[in-house]
Amino acid sequence: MRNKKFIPEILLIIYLIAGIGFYILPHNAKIGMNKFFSDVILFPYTKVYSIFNHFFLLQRENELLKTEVIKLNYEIGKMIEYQIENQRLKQLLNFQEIKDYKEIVFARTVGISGDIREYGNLIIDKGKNHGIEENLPVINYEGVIGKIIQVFNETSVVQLILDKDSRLSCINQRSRQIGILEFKDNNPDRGYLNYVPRSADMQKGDKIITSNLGGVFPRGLLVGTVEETNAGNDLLMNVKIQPAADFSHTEEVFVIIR
Amino acid sequence: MKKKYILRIILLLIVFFLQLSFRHLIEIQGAKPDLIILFLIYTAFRDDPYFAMSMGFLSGLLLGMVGPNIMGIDVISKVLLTYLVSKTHENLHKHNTIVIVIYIAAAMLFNDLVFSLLHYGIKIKLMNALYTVIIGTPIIKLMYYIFQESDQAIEDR
Repeated sequence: MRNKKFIPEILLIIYLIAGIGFYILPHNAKIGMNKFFSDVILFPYTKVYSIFNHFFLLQRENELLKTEVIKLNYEIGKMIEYQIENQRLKQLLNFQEIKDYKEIVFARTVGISGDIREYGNLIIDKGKNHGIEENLPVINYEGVIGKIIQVFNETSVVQLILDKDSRLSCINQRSRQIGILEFKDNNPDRGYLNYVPRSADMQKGDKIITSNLGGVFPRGLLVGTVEETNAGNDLLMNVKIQPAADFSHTEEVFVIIR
Repeated sequence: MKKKYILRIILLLIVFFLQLSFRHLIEIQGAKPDLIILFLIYTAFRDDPYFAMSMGFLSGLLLGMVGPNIMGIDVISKVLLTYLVSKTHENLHKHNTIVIVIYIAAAMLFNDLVFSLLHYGIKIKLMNALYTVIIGTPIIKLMYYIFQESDQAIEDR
């Protein structure tokens, strides 16, 4: 009877040791377990969830895509004009063509499409065997998602731009003002463009794109839009950014191989 | 007895999948309720500490499998949580709203504290705690109401 009194504590210690064991496992082993769990144990759930998701989102997505197609057709028209003008100007200046990327690789996120915001990164099903390397940009059809930070043979880890350790050099497409994008608490609603002088030209609705100053992202990828600006301290302005990508739906992404 | 435990495990799996799939749909201004913590508090109130801790371990393991970056932290946090709730609720009136509110708030803050120490750096999500208290108190009371008779019937057999 006296011994029995200690059993909860013994069980507690056993479970805590197991918890610490999981905590100190190498990252590769953790990812392997996650992949097994997602592919095998959660497989029926992911299938049902994705069917459910598709069913309810398809109509909304269809409407959005139609609107997007109309906008893009308009943009393409303008771009063709710019391209012709650009080529003419390049010929005049004797510039050489520089291609921003070699290939774009389609990838699916490994595992479930749950609340990835908690974790700051995600794992995709493409790795070394598919030509993926560290520091390659990852985007989806809406905008920038993140960059590759770790590569294995068949999978890779993507650090989201939401991650608290992520810094992304960006530029205002209209005013050409440069800033560094950071998110607080991995929260897409708490993105700020930092180091923007108070006198800078930043307006609500301005598009924020990658600047290529960090060397990872090619110039011109859409990152987000300016949601709010207000006077910060004496020197700098507070610029709140609404990210272009919806981070709760990142099942399919693209890796830009440079 | 065994049937009751099987029902609890099924309930945990349901709560886990609900949390995984639909929690972001009820997010308000970045705040999200933690349904698994609510389930663990209820289990620790209703069941013996061994089973409650086992549920804590299982839920932590499931959450860790989904987020490899935090694998292990949820196990530590949830096992400690169920142990502490099991150890402290003995002489309290567990149907009392104030007791439930205090336990949910304390459990949410304790969970954040463990994550702060092992993963994030200091970050206490007060809005999550408040949101979980607001929706969790009636949920736990409802669970008492729904499962009281069925648990009793199983135990009587």
